[in-house]
Amino acid sequence: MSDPTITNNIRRLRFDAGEMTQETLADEVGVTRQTIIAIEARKYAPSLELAFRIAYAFGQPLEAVFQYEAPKMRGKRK
Amino acid sequence: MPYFIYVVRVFERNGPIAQAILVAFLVAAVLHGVVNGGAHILMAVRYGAARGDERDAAIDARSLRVAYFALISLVMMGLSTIAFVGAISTPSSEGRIWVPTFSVTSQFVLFCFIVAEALRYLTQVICYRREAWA
Repeated sequence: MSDPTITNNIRRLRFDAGEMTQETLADEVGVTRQTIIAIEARKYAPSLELAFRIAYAFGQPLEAVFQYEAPKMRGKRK
Repeated sequence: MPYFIYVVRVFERNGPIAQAILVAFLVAAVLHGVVNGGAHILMAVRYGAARGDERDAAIDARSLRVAYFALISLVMMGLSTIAFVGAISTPSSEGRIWVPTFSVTSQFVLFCFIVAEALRYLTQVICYRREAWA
């Protein structure tokens, strides 16, 4: 199975938000701490709604929290 | 005849030893239920009510897909085997061919369900332990 192509800055954003714990973030966005751990470790790509909720929790736009890395293709798009 | 009624009748026909085994099985089943229920209550008290989220739902859906695929595959393989054996078998002197009995079919169907259920739990364990994609 290929690695997910969605990266995130959740760890850094938690640090910037006064060392917010994973538990606190999980409670704010309504998921379990295990899900936050999986998202941070890039093991799980959240739904669009959850991604927006996480960005909202940090007061950041979505693209400041999540980034998309295009997979390497044989032929590059022009 | 339903499978479990058939089993109980077989036990009834085989005397006190079989009945003792049946009682032991029922006691074990009740004990299993009590231990399982107790463990769930203990977990709920210790860690609070289980709160599922979208990742839990995704893992559950994935494990169900795996179990369904396994169940359908096994059943199709079983049906194919029956059809194949029926097609190649030679009728006996009385003109009979082999067909699976109700007991054999029941055992096979139960086996399929057990394998599917085991695969479902295995998939969940792998997804949670490895924090895999779901």
